[in-house]
Amino acid sequence: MLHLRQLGVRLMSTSTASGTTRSGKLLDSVIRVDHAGELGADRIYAGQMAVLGKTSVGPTIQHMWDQEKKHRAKFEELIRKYRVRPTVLTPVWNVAGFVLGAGTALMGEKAAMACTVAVETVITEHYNDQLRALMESDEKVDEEVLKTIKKFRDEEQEHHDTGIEHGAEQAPFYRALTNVIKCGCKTAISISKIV
Amino acid sequence: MAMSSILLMRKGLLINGLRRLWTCRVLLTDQPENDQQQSSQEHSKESDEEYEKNIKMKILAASLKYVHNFGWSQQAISAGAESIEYPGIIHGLFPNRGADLVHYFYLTCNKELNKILEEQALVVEQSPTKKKKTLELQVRDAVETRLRMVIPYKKTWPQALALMALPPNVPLSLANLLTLVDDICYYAGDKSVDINWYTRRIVLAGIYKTTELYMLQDNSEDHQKTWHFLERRIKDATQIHTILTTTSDMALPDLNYATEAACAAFVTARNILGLNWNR
Repeated sequence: MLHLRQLGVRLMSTSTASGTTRSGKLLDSVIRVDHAGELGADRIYAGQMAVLGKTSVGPTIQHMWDQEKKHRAKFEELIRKYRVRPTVLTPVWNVAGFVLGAGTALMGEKAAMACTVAVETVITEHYNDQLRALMESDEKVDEEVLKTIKKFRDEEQEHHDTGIEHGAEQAPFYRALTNVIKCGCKTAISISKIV
Repeated sequence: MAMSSILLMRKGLLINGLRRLWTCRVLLTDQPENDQQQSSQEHSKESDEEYEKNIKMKILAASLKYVHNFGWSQQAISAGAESIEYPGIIHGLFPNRGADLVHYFYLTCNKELNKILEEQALVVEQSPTKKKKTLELQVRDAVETRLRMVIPYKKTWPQALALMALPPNVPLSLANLLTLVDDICYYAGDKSVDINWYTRRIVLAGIYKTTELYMLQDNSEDHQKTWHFLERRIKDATQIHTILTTTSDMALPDLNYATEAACAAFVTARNILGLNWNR
Protein backbone atom coordinates (compact mmCIF):
# COMPACT_ATOMS: atom_id res chain seq x y z
CA MET A 1 0.00 0.00 0.00
CA LEU A 2 2.85 2.34 0.87
CA HIS A 3 4.31 1.53 -2.46
CA LEU A 4 1.07 2.40 -4.19
CA ARG A 5 0.82 5.68 -2.39
CA GLN A 6 4.35 6.60 -3.40
CA LEU A 7 3.44 5.73 -6.94
CA GLY A 8 0.40 7.95 -6.63
CA VAL A 9 2.46 10.88 -5.41
CA ARG A 10 4.91 10.45 -8.22
CA LEU A 11 2.20 10.20 -10.82
CA MET A 12 0.49 13.22 -9.43
CA SER A 13 3.57 15.30 -10.01
CA THR A 14 3.82 14.19 -13.61
CA SER A 15 0.14 14.53 -14.40
CA THR A 16 -0.07 18.31 -14.44
CA ALA A 17 2.76 18.51 -16.90
CA SER A 18 1.40 16.03 -19.41
CA GLY A 19 -2.28 16.94 -19.41
CA THR A 20 -3.24 19.94 -21.47
CA THR A 21 -6.91 20.31 -20.71
CA ARG A 22 -6.76 18.46 -17.42
CA SER A 23 -6.52 19.76 -13.91
CA GLY A 24 -4.35 18.64 -11.03
CA LYS A 25 -5.64 16.32 -8.39
CA LEU A 26 -6.07 18.89 -5.63
CA LEU A 27 -7.84 21.39 -7.86
CA ASP A 28 -9.99 18.56 -9.15
CA SER A 29 -11.23 17.72 -5.67
CA VAL A 30 -11.57 21.39 -4.69
CA ILE A 31 -13.85 22.20 -7.60
CA ARG A 32 -15.89 19.03 -7.17
CA VAL A 33 -16.58 19.56 -3.49
CA ASP A 34 -17.33 23.27 -3.93
CA HIS A 35 -19.78 22.57 -6.69
CA ALA A 36 -21.50 19.99 -4.50
CA GLY A 37 -21.60 22.50 -1.63
CA GLU A 38 -23.10 25.29 -3.68
CA LEU A 39 -25.62 22.89 -5.13
CA GLY A 40 -26.63 21.92 -1.59
CA ALA A 41 -26.80 25.57 -0.48
CA ASP A 42 -28.94 26.46 -3.46
CA ARG A 43 -31.35 23.67 -2.55
CA ILE A 44 -31.42 24.65 1.14
CA TYR A 45 -32.55 28.16 0.26
CA ALA A 46 -35.03 26.72 -2.23
CA GLY A 47 -36.50 24.68 0.63
CA GLN A 48 -36.64 27.70 2.92
CA MET A 49 -38.31 29.79 0.24
CA ALA A 50 -40.92 27.11 -0.35
CA VAL A 51 -42.02 27.47 3.26
CA LEU A 52 -41.13 31.03 4.24
CA GLY A 53 -41.40 32.68 0.82
CA LYS A 54 -44.44 34.74 1.71
CA THR A 55 -43.38 35.84 5.20
CA SER A 56 -41.46 38.94 6.22
CA VAL A 57 -38.05 37.27 5.87
CA GLY A 58 -38.90 36.20 2.32
CA PRO A 59 -36.95 38.98 0.53
CA THR A 60 -33.85 38.41 2.70
CA ILE A 61 -33.83 34.70 1.90
CA GLN A 62 -34.50 35.45 -1.76
CA HIS A 63 -31.47 37.73 -1.87
CA MET A 64 -29.22 35.07 -0.36
CA TRP A 65 -30.70 32.46 -2.66
CA ASP A 66 -29.91 34.57 -5.72
CA GLN A 67 -26.31 34.84 -4.61
CA GLU A 68 -26.08 31.09 -4.09
CA LYS A 69 -27.49 30.51 -7.56
CA LYS A 70 -24.69 32.65 -8.97
CA HIS A 71 -22.14 30.66 -6.98
CA ARG A 72 -23.51 27.42 -8.31
CA ALA A 73 -23.44 28.67 -11.90
CA LYS A 74 -19.85 29.77 -11.45
CA PHE A 75 -18.73 26.37 -10.23
CA GLU A 76 -20.62 24.63 -13.00
CA GLU A 77 -18.65 26.75 -15.40
CA LEU A 78 -15.40 25.81 -13.66
CA ILE A 79 -16.31 22.11 -13.83
CA ARG A 80 -16.63 22.37 -17.58
CA LYS A 81 -13.51 24.45 -17.95
CA TYR A 82 -11.23 22.18 -15.94
CA ARG A 83 -12.89 18.91 -16.96
CA VAL A 84 -13.63 17.97 -13.40
CA ARG A 85 -15.82 15.00 -12.67
CA PRO A 86 -18.93 16.15 -10.77
CA THR A 87 -19.77 14.20 -7.63
CA VAL A 88 -21.87 11.06 -8.06
CA LEU A 89 -24.11 12.12 -5.23
CA THR A 90 -25.67 15.18 -6.88
CA PRO A 91 -29.20 13.71 -6.66
CA VAL A 92 -28.66 12.96 -2.97
CA TRP A 93 -27.44 16.47 -2.12
CA ASN A 94 -30.26 17.86 -4.22
CA VAL A 95 -32.91 16.18 -2.09
CA ALA A 96 -31.05 16.43 1.22
CA GLY A 97 -30.54 20.17 0.79
CA PHE A 98 -34.19 20.82 0.08
CA VAL A 99 -35.32 18.67 3.00
CA LEU A 100 -32.92 20.40 5.38
CA GLY A 101 -34.04 23.85 4.23
CA ALA A 102 -37.75 23.10 4.29
CA GLY A 103 -37.47 21.10 7.52
CA THR A 104 -35.81 23.85 9.51
CA ALA A 105 -38.06 26.48 7.96
CA LEU A 106 -41.10 24.55 9.19
CA MET A 107 -39.73 24.88 12.72
CA GLY A 108 -39.99 28.67 12.34
CA GLU A 109 -37.97 31.47 10.81
CA LYS A 110 -35.50 31.53 13.63
CA ALA A 111 -34.69 27.88 13.20
CA ALA A 112 -34.27 28.50 9.49
CA MET A 113 -31.81 31.26 10.29
CA ALA A 114 -30.01 28.96 12.70
CA CYS A 115 -29.66 26.47 9.88
CA THR A 116 -28.24 29.19 7.64
CA VAL A 117 -25.77 30.18 10.35
CA ALA A 118 -24.61 26.60 10.88
CA VAL A 119 -24.18 25.87 7.18
CA GLU A 120 -22.42 29.13 6.42
CA THR A 121 -20.04 28.71 9.35
CA VAL A 122 -18.90 25.38 8.04
CA ILE A 123 -18.64 26.62 4.48
CA THR A 124 -16.61 29.69 5.40
CA GLU A 125 -14.21 27.53 7.38
CA HIS A 126 -14.05 25.07 4.51
CA TYR A 127 -13.25 27.79 1.97
CA ASN A 128 -10.53 29.14 4.23
CA ASP A 129 -8.98 25.68 4.52
CA GLN A 130 -9.10 25.29 0.78
CA LEU A 131 -7.43 28.63 0.16
CA ARG A 132 -4.67 27.67 2.54
CA ALA A 133 -4.21 24.26 0.92
CA LEU A 134 -4.19 25.71 -2.60
CA MET A 135 -1.63 28.35 -1.68
CA GLU A 136 0.61 25.85 0.05
CA SER A 137 0.54 23.25 -2.72
CA ASP A 138 2.97 23.43 -5.60
CA GLU A 139 0.23 22.74 -8.10
CA LYS A 140 -0.24 25.62 -10.46
CA VAL A 141 -3.57 27.21 -9.66
CA ASP A 142 -5.22 29.87 -11.71
CA GLU A 143 -5.71 33.24 -10.10
CA GLU A 144 -9.36 32.98 -11.17
CA VAL A 145 -10.09 30.04 -8.89
CA LEU A 146 -8.51 31.70 -5.86
CA LYS A 147 -10.38 34.94 -6.48
CA THR A 148 -13.66 33.10 -6.91
CA ILE A 149 -13.23 31.21 -3.67
CA LYS A 150 -12.26 34.38 -1.80
CA LYS A 151 -15.25 36.30 -3.10
CA PHE A 152 -17.66 33.48 -2.32
CA ARG A 153 -16.23 33.08 1.17
CA ASP A 154 -16.93 36.73 1.90
CA GLU A 155 -20.49 36.40 0.67
CA GLU A 156 -21.07 33.28 2.74
CA GLN A 157 -19.77 35.19 5.75
CA GLU A 158 -22.36 37.89 5.01
CA HIS A 159 -25.11 35.28 4.96
CA HIS A 160 -23.89 34.04 8.32
CA ASP A 161 -24.10 37.56 9.76
CA THR A 162 -27.56 38.07 8.28
CA GLY A 163 -28.66 34.88 10.01
CA ILE A 164 -27.39 36.09 13.37
CA GLU A 165 -29.10 39.46 12.87
CA HIS A 166 -32.42 37.76 12.29
CA GLY A 167 -32.25 36.11 15.67
CA ALA A 168 -30.81 32.73 14.81
CA GLU A 169 -29.49 32.37 18.34
CA GLN A 170 -32.98 32.52 19.79
CA ALA A 171 -34.06 29.47 17.87
CA PRO A 172 -35.22 26.47 19.88
CA PHE A 173 -32.36 24.11 20.72
CA TYR A 174 -29.99 26.45 18.90
CA ARG A 175 -26.86 24.68 20.13
CA ALA A 176 -28.02 21.16 19.37
CA LEU A 177 -29.55 22.14 16.06
CA THR A 178 -26.49 23.95 14.73
CA ASN A 179 -24.14 21.23 15.93
CA VAL A 180 -26.11 18.52 14.20
CA ILE A 181 -26.26 20.51 10.96
CA LYS A 182 -22.56 21.39 11.15
CA CYS A 183 -21.68 17.76 11.64
CA GLY A 184 -23.83 16.78 8.65
CA CYS A 185 -22.23 19.43 6.46
CA LYS A 186 -18.74 18.31 7.37
CA THR A 187 -19.57 14.70 6.54
CA ALA A 188 -21.06 15.77 3.23
CA ILE A 189 -17.93 17.75 2.42
CA SER A 190 -15.58 14.91 3.15
CA ILE A 191 -17.68 12.50 1.09
CA SER A 192 -17.90 14.85 -1.89
CA LYS A 193 -14.15 15.35 -1.91
CA ILE A 194 -13.69 11.73 -2.95
CA VAL A 195 -16.77 10.39 -4.64
CA MET B 1 -6.27 -1.33 16.63
CA ALA B 2 -8.96 -3.15 14.71
CA MET B 3 -10.69 0.14 14.10
CA SER B 4 -7.59 1.75 12.71
CA SER B 5 -6.89 -1.15 10.43
CA ILE B 6 -10.43 -0.98 9.12
CA LEU B 7 -10.02 2.72 8.51
CA LEU B 8 -6.76 2.11 6.76
CA MET B 9 -8.32 -0.55 4.62
CA ARG B 10 -11.23 1.66 3.73
CA LYS B 11 -8.87 4.43 2.77
CA GLY B 12 -6.85 2.05 0.68
CA LEU B 13 -9.94 0.75 -1.04
CA LEU B 14 -11.19 4.21 -1.78
CA ILE B 15 -7.88 5.37 -3.11
CA ASN B 16 -7.15 2.33 -5.18
CA GLY B 17 -10.65 1.46 -6.26
CA LEU B 18 -12.73 4.50 -6.92
CA ARG B 19 -10.09 6.97 -7.85
CA ARG B 20 -8.47 4.58 -10.17
CA LEU B 21 -11.54 4.50 -12.31
CA TRP B 22 -12.33 8.09 -12.84
CA THR B 23 -10.29 10.69 -11.10
CA CYS B 24 -7.18 8.75 -11.72
CA ARG B 25 -6.37 9.71 -15.20
CA VAL B 26 -2.97 10.08 -13.57
CA LEU B 27 -2.63 6.33 -13.81
CA LEU B 28 -2.82 6.64 -17.53
CA THR B 29 -0.56 9.63 -17.88
CA ASP B 30 2.08 7.38 -16.37
CA GLN B 31 3.28 6.63 -19.85
CA PRO B 32 5.46 9.36 -21.30
CA GLU B 33 5.29 10.41 -24.92
CA ASN B 34 7.26 8.26 -27.30
CA ASP B 35 9.23 11.07 -28.76
CA GLN B 36 10.39 12.25 -25.38
CA GLN B 37 14.14 11.78 -25.35
CA GLN B 38 16.09 11.62 -22.18
CA SER B 39 19.75 12.39 -21.99
CA SER B 40 21.50 9.45 -20.44
CA GLN B 41 24.09 11.66 -18.74
CA GLU B 42 21.77 12.46 -15.89
CA HIS B 43 22.15 9.98 -13.11
CA SER B 44 19.39 11.00 -10.76
CA LYS B 45 16.88 8.33 -9.88
CA GLU B 46 14.03 10.04 -11.65
CA SER B 47 15.84 10.21 -14.96
CA ASP B 48 16.84 6.56 -14.68
CA GLU B 49 13.20 5.69 -14.36
CA GLU B 50 12.31 7.82 -17.34
CA TYR B 51 15.08 6.26 -19.33
CA GLU B 52 13.85 2.78 -18.56
CA LYS B 53 10.31 3.77 -19.47
CA ASN B 54 11.43 5.14 -22.82
CA ILE B 55 13.13 1.88 -23.67
CA LYS B 56 10.00 0.01 -22.70
CA MET B 57 7.91 2.22 -24.96
CA LYS B 58 10.29 1.65 -27.86
CA ILE B 59 10.19 -2.09 -27.42
CA LEU B 60 6.41 -2.18 -27.17
CA ALA B 61 6.07 -0.02 -30.28
CA ALA B 62 8.31 -2.41 -32.18
CA SER B 63 6.44 -5.43 -30.85
CA LEU B 64 3.13 -4.39 -32.37
CA LYS B 65 4.37 -5.55 -35.76
CA TYR B 66 4.72 -9.10 -34.45
CA VAL B 67 1.27 -9.32 -32.94
CA HIS B 68 -0.08 -10.80 -36.16
CA ASN B 69 2.25 -13.77 -35.86
CA PHE B 70 2.55 -14.33 -32.15
CA GLY B 71 -0.60 -12.76 -30.70
CA TRP B 72 -0.53 -10.46 -27.68
CA SER B 73 2.15 -12.45 -25.96
CA GLN B 74 5.61 -12.62 -24.55
CA GLN B 75 6.92 -13.93 -27.88
CA ALA B 76 5.73 -10.82 -29.66
CA ILE B 77 7.58 -8.66 -27.15
CA SER B 78 10.73 -10.74 -27.51
CA ALA B 79 10.59 -10.52 -31.28
CA GLY B 80 9.98 -6.79 -31.10
CA ALA B 81 12.94 -6.30 -28.76
CA GLU B 82 15.21 -8.30 -31.05
CA SER B 83 14.11 -6.31 -34.07
CA ILE B 84 15.50 -3.13 -32.51
CA GLU B 85 18.61 -4.89 -31.23
CA TYR B 86 17.77 -5.53 -27.63
CA PRO B 87 18.16 -9.04 -26.28
CA GLY B 88 14.97 -11.07 -26.53
CA ILE B 89 15.27 -11.94 -22.85
CA ILE B 90 14.36 -8.33 -22.04
CA HIS B 91 10.71 -9.37 -21.95
CA GLY B 92 11.39 -9.73 -18.22
CA LEU B 93 10.83 -5.98 -18.04
CA PHE B 94 7.16 -6.60 -18.69
CA PRO B 95 5.78 -8.65 -15.81
CA ASN B 96 2.26 -8.55 -17.25
CA ARG B 97 3.44 -9.84 -20.62
CA GLY B 98 0.71 -9.57 -23.24
CA ALA B 99 -1.40 -7.30 -21.05
CA ASP B 100 1.33 -4.67 -21.09
CA LEU B 101 1.35 -4.77 -24.85
CA VAL B 102 -2.45 -4.46 -25.07
CA HIS B 103 -2.40 -1.60 -22.62
CA TYR B 104 0.26 0.17 -24.63
CA PHE B 105 -1.74 -0.27 -27.82
CA TYR B 106 -4.92 0.99 -26.18
CA LEU B 107 -3.13 4.00 -24.82
CA THR B 108 -1.52 5.02 -28.11
CA CYS B 109 -4.86 4.67 -29.88
CA ASN B 110 -6.55 6.82 -27.24
CA LYS B 111 -3.86 9.44 -27.66
CA GLU B 112 -4.24 9.43 -31.41
CA LEU B 113 -8.00 9.76 -31.16
CA ASN B 114 -7.52 12.62 -28.72
CA LYS B 115 -5.29 14.36 -31.22
CA ILE B 116 -7.77 13.88 -34.06
CA LEU B 117 -10.69 15.14 -31.97
CA GLU B 118 -8.71 18.14 -30.82
CA GLU B 119 -7.87 19.07 -34.40
CA GLN B 120 -11.50 18.72 -35.41
CA ALA B 121 -12.57 20.92 -32.53
CA LEU B 122 -10.04 23.55 -33.60
CA VAL B 123 -11.29 23.51 -37.17
CA VAL B 124 -14.85 24.00 -36.00
CA GLU B 125 -13.76 26.84 -33.77
CA GLN B 126 -11.94 28.63 -36.54
CA SER B 127 -14.78 28.47 -39.02
CA PRO B 128 -17.97 29.17 -37.12
CA THR B 129 -19.91 29.75 -40.34
CA LYS B 130 -19.62 26.14 -41.39
CA LYS B 131 -22.48 23.95 -40.37
CA LYS B 132 -21.68 22.00 -37.25
CA LYS B 133 -22.12 18.27 -37.05
CA THR B 134 -24.90 17.09 -34.79
CA LEU B 135 -23.96 15.60 -31.48
CA GLU B 136 -24.94 12.06 -32.48
CA LEU B 137 -22.94 12.28 -35.66
CA GLN B 138 -19.93 13.57 -33.78
CA VAL B 139 -20.08 10.71 -31.29
CA ARG B 140 -20.64 8.20 -34.07
CA ASP B 141 -17.65 9.44 -36.03
CA ALA B 142 -15.43 9.44 -32.97
CA VAL B 143 -16.35 5.85 -32.10
CA GLU B 144 -15.89 4.79 -35.70
CA THR B 145 -12.45 6.42 -35.91
CA ARG B 146 -11.41 4.70 -32.73
CA LEU B 147 -12.70 1.29 -33.81
CA ARG B 148 -10.99 1.58 -37.18
CA MET B 149 -7.70 1.71 -35.32
CA VAL B 150 -8.41 -1.79 -34.03
CA ILE B 151 -9.23 -3.26 -37.48
CA PRO B 152 -5.60 -4.04 -38.44
CA TYR B 153 -5.42 -6.23 -35.32
CA LYS B 154 -8.88 -7.71 -35.72
CA LYS B 155 -7.67 -11.28 -36.02
CA THR B 156 -5.95 -11.27 -32.63
CA TRP B 157 -8.21 -8.75 -30.92
CA PRO B 158 -10.37 -11.37 -29.14
CA GLN B 159 -7.25 -12.50 -27.34
CA ALA B 160 -6.56 -8.93 -26.29
CA LEU B 161 -10.13 -8.57 -25.00
CA ALA B 162 -9.70 -11.75 -22.99
CA LEU B 163 -6.44 -10.45 -21.54
CA MET B 164 -8.05 -7.17 -20.54
CA ALA B 165 -10.90 -8.99 -18.83
CA LEU B 166 -8.57 -10.90 -16.49
CA PRO B 167 -9.15 -9.71 -12.93
CA PRO B 168 -5.69 -8.18 -12.35
CA ASN B 169 -5.99 -6.15 -15.55
CA VAL B 170 -9.56 -5.01 -15.06
CA PRO B 171 -8.84 -1.72 -13.24
CA LEU B 172 -6.45 -0.56 -15.90
CA SER B 173 -8.62 -1.54 -18.83
CA LEU B 174 -11.65 0.07 -17.19
CA ALA B 175 -9.66 3.25 -16.67
CA ASN B 176 -8.63 3.10 -20.32
CA LEU B 177 -12.19 2.69 -21.51
CA LEU B 178 -13.52 5.42 -19.25
CA THR B 179 -10.84 7.85 -20.34
CA LEU B 180 -11.73 7.08 -23.93
CA VAL B 181 -15.43 7.81 -23.46
CA ASP B 182 -14.64 10.85 -21.34
CA ASP B 183 -12.56 12.27 -24.19
CA ILE B 184 -15.30 11.60 -26.71
CA CYS B 185 -17.92 13.22 -24.49
CA TYR B 186 -15.69 16.21 -23.82
CA TYR B 187 -15.00 16.92 -27.47
CA ALA B 188 -18.64 16.29 -28.40
CA GLY B 189 -19.41 19.20 -26.09
CA ASP B 190 -21.06 17.46 -23.16
CA LYS B 191 -22.05 20.14 -20.68
CA SER B 192 -23.77 18.12 -17.99
CA VAL B 193 -22.68 18.65 -14.39
CA ASP B 194 -24.99 16.25 -12.59
CA ILE B 195 -25.75 12.56 -12.63
CA ASN B 196 -26.14 12.78 -16.42
CA TRP B 197 -22.39 13.13 -16.59
CA TYR B 198 -22.15 9.53 -15.43
CA THR B 199 -25.07 8.06 -17.33
CA ARG B 200 -23.85 9.48 -20.62
CA ARG B 201 -20.39 8.08 -20.19
CA ILE B 202 -21.59 4.70 -19.06
CA VAL B 203 -24.07 4.42 -21.93
CA LEU B 204 -21.40 5.44 -24.40
CA ALA B 205 -18.98 2.90 -22.92
CA GLY B 206 -21.66 0.25 -23.39
CA ILE B 207 -22.24 1.28 -26.99
CA TYR B 208 -18.53 1.24 -27.69
CA LYS B 209 -18.02 -2.20 -26.21
CA THR B 210 -21.01 -3.83 -27.93
CA THR B 211 -20.01 -2.35 -31.28
CA GLU B 212 -16.49 -3.63 -30.75
CA LEU B 213 -17.83 -7.12 -30.17
CA TYR B 214 -20.10 -6.85 -33.20
CA MET B 215 -17.18 -5.78 -35.35
CA LEU B 216 -15.23 -8.93 -34.53
CA GLN B 217 -17.95 -11.04 -36.15
CA ASP B 218 -18.58 -8.71 -39.05
CA ASN B 219 -17.43 -9.88 -42.49
CA SER B 220 -19.14 -7.24 -44.61
CA GLU B 221 -17.11 -4.99 -46.86
CA ASP B 222 -15.43 -2.14 -45.00
CA HIS B 223 -17.40 -3.25 -41.95
CA GLN B 224 -20.50 -1.45 -43.19
CA LYS B 225 -22.74 -3.57 -40.99
CA THR B 226 -20.82 -2.51 -37.90
CA TRP B 227 -21.29 1.17 -38.61
CA HIS B 228 -25.01 0.63 -39.19
CA PHE B 229 -25.15 -1.27 -35.94
CA LEU B 230 -23.41 1.64 -34.21
CA GLU B 231 -25.88 4.12 -35.69
CA ARG B 232 -28.80 2.05 -34.48
CA ARG B 233 -27.38 1.83 -30.96
CA ILE B 234 -26.85 5.58 -30.81
CA LYS B 235 -30.37 6.15 -32.09
CA ASP B 236 -31.72 3.87 -29.35
CA ALA B 237 -29.81 5.78 -26.70
CA THR B 238 -31.04 9.17 -27.89
CA GLN B 239 -34.57 7.82 -28.04
CA ILE B 240 -34.45 6.67 -24.45
CA HIS B 241 -32.94 9.98 -23.47
CA THR B 242 -35.74 11.97 -25.11
CA ILE B 243 -38.39 9.82 -23.48
CA LEU B 244 -36.84 10.34 -20.06
CA THR B 245 -36.42 14.08 -20.46
CA THR B 246 -39.91 14.70 -21.82
CA THR B 247 -41.53 12.91 -18.92
CA SER B 248 -39.55 14.87 -16.36
CA ASP B 249 -40.31 18.14 -18.18
CA MET B 250 -44.04 17.50 -18.24
CA ALA B 251 -46.01 20.11 -16.40
CA LEU B 252 -46.68 19.02 -12.87
CA PRO B 253 -50.14 19.64 -11.44
CA ASP B 254 -50.41 22.86 -9.52
CA LEU B 255 -48.73 22.16 -6.20
CA ASN B 256 -49.54 25.47 -4.58
CA TYR B 257 -52.68 24.27 -2.86
CA ALA B 258 -50.95 21.19 -1.56
CA THR B 259 -48.05 23.17 -0.07
CA GLU B 260 -50.39 25.71 1.47
CA ALA B 261 -52.53 23.01 3.03
CA ALA B 262 -49.48 21.18 4.37
CA CYS B 263 -48.09 24.41 5.79
CA ALA B 264 -51.34 25.31 7.47
CA ALA B 265 -51.63 21.85 8.99
CA PHE B 266 -48.09 22.04 10.30
CA VAL B 267 -48.55 25.50 11.82
CA THR B 268 -51.79 24.43 13.49
CA ALA B 269 -50.14 21.34 14.92
CA ARG B 270 -47.30 23.47 16.20
CA ASN B 271 -49.68 25.88 17.87
CA ILE B 272 -51.66 23.09 19.49
CA LEU B 273 -48.47 21.64 20.91
CA GLY B 274 -47.45 25.08 22.17
CA LEU B 275 -44.24 25.09 20.21
CA ASN B 276 -44.59 28.56 18.71
CA TRP B 277 -41.56 30.16 20.23
CA ASN B 278 -40.93 33.88 20.28
CA ARG B 279 -43.65 34.74 17.90
